[in-house]
Amino acid sequence: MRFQFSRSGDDGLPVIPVVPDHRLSTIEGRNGIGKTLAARILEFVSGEQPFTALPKAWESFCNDLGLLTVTIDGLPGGEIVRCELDSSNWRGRSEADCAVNPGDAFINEKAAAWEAVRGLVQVRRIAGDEGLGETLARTLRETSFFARDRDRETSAIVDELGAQLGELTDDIVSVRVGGHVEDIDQYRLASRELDAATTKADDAASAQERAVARLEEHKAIAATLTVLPELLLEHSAASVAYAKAEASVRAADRKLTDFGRQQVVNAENEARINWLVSRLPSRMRLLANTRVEEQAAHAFLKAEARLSDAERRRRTQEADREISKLDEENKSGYLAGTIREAQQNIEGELRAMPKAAQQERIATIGRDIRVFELADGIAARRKQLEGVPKPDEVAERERAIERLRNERARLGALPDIYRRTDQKQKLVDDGLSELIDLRGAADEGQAFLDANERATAARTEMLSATVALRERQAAIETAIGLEADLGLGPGSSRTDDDDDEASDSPETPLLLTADQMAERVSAWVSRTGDNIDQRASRAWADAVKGSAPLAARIKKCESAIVKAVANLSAEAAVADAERSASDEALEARAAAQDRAEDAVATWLDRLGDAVRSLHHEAGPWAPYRAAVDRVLNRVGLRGDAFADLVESPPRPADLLREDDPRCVAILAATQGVEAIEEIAGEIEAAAARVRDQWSNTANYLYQFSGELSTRYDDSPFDAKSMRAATGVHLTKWAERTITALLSSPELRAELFNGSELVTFNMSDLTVSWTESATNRKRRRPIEAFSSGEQVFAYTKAKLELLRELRHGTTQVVVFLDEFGAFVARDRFAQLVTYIEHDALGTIADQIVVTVPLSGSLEQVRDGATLANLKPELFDPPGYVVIPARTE
Amino acid sequence: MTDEADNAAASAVSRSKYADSLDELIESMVEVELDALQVADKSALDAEYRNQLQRRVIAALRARDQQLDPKVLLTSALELWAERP
Repeated sequence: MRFQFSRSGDDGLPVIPVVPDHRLSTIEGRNGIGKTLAARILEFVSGEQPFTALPKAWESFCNDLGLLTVTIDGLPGGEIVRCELDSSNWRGRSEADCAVNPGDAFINEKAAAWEAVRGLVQVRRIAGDEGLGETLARTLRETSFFARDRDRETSAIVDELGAQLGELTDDIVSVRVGGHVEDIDQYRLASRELDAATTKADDAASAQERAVARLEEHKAIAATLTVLPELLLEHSAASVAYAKAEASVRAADRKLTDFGRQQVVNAENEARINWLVSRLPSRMRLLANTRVEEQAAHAFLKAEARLSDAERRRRTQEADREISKLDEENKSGYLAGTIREAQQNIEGELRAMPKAAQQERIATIGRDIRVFELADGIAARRKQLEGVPKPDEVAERERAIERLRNERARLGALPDIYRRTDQKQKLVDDGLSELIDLRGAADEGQAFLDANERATAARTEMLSATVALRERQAAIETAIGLEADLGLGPGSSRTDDDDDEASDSPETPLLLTADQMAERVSAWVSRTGDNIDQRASRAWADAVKGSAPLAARIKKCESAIVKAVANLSAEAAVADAERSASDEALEARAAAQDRAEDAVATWLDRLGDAVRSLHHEAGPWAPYRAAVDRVLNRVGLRGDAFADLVESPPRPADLLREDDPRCVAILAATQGVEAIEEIAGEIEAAAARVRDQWSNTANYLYQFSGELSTRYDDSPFDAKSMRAATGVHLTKWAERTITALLSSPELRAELFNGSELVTFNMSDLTVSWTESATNRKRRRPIEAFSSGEQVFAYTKAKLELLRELRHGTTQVVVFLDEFGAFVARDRFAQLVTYIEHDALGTIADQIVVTVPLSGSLEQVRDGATLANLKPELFDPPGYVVIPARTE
Repeated sequence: MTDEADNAAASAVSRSKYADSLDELIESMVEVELDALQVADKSALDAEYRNQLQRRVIAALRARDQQLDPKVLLTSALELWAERP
């Protein structure tokens, strides 16, 4: 067969133009003219990839070959094969793929499949400079590139898996915060400690309030005891004055009565006069009561005279305005109270929302906040604000508001008080007028008029004494806590305003004598003794029991109560300190609980997102729903519990009791979500492990091929580190593979004396075998197979390995390339003899031997001519084709 | 991967007479790696399950004439976990 290589221009890698049609020929030519490239191109179009182990040569082949036409003729069937190659089409494709389909093929000018071309002719190249070590190295290098391709391919799959599974697990991956069981324990402990601290703080607050109240109570008793003696003296003096005034009135009345009796009056008038005289003292007392009440109201309202209706309205409106103003000031001044009020309103609205609405997002503060979260947050803060003390000015404003409200109440009560006073006044006036009329009708003399005038003056004096006595009495009763009995407060209206003459029988004396008052105060002192501090009670009891005058006993009681106040002050201080300490401890526990709750809440928030993502009907997990349900069932989360977690997201409070069904469901959901996420991650990790092992294998084989032959010793990997990185599996595999290569019948026959067993040792790169004839054990390093004798034997073995090739194709052509060493070692004739007798016709139909130029082109040509070998000279490019003598 | 790349990969495989041998080698090396890993790491997944899942992934990667479907793989992995004894 003749092989012609042609191209339209001069560009492209150099290649010899023709390989003539000789069964056996030698091509002797200059270096660099493309003899080897011609052989490799023909291998390439035969479907082989001669560059698998030579990535740089392949890159050059792709970039620089250019457009090339290969024409093959001289086939036994007369076919003419044309192959059109364009290396620019190979860029970006794998070298294996390019070898399968390198360009366009034609047979007899008709487009043909490459398989058809390869059925007609197969070309192989055997390199004379490639010994056993190089062949093994090339084989491993080719395998390393195969492994590299698998690495890349698997890597792409891992990337794709990572992208798809990553997108899928975005919403659930963050659930894996780890240590959530510890977080729950911490949260439960912190919550229990907070509850205990709250109880303790409440108890301390109550104790402190009780201590303060007790102290204030005793201080009030002490103050009362201080003023009581003076008040009793004043009351006694007023009582004396009243008795004196009353005696004057009685005397005046008796005088008038005496005047009356001296007159002629009818029996009816007599009875009426007596009745009126008997009623007048009572009417006077009732009038005194209402006047005292009116005066008390006026004193409270700081009014010197009666207020007109207009004035009362004006002052009422003014009080209302002032109350509103103070309320507003308190709202802005007492922010805690204002905020708490707003919190109650907002929280109430939020809690009242339907369950589904509580899951909706209501605000965005760094993240989306749901309704129930906002309500929980407000409740937590409200609880904190409950402990915020009121500022002094707020308390002062509240007291002012209370005073204004009292003022307003008294202003409202004034008309009724005025009415009753006027009514009582009218009763007194009417009685006196009637009495004067009755008596005047009997006697118009000057003496009567004078007596009447004195009686009127005495009554006026008595009224003043009554009022004074009532005031003293009221002061004492107020001091000993009997204000309500006096009817002086707003709203405590008396029922004695209906001067029903028949029912005018006072059940309780409105005016007390000094003895009565002393008795009342004594009773108060006795009662008070029952309630005072235990440590003062004995001294108090002794004081009460004594027979000393009341003032002296009060003085002793005062001494006892002063000591009690001192004790209670100390206790109140201690209680106050304990309350402060408890409040601080509570604050610290609340902060710790907040932190623990935050940790749990963050995890639960993520779990909620994950659960919703897994449950979402239109979400990325929808296609996996059945499988997800099975996983969740496996961890004990039933479908209804799963749906409940979606409907009502988990909250920290759900975790407080481990037997709470919600807690059980949350923990199961966490386990399930973690498992799902781990499974997704494990798939990617499993693929990545495969990829990594392909990478390790590719690198190892690449490096190891360099160890076998210096020609391939370009590995960037350090041999020691590579061996350390790869396990025994890989080295064993390499050892087995090389042993299998060496154990082919052809190699065993040619190189290993027909040994049945050939083994390769990785540790020292040696081959061991046993000579079958002598049973002698042999061991030799790989590089020892590069001797001339061994190379010849190896070449024969490689030719033998091609024997099967002829069964699948019409024609087999073998190039024995780079056989210059054979010429130099005078083994060429031996090789040719072997080819002629053992290879041509059995292994190959045509064999071409290429050797370097041994002299000038002309010398080579002339030498061959002299030997009658009919050489052909091709110059340029500069080579001679010498057919074998056998032709 | 593109169709062209698929074809190229298939061609490369067909051109390596060691493809099956290498696949078995990779499988054995992955098993060794996984065994060592399971001693060291703290996965919530048990060793037997991980081994089974690894084998499924290896089989899916080895069946290179079929497009590897992550959805099928994940579904089968979830079911395998749910069904484990």
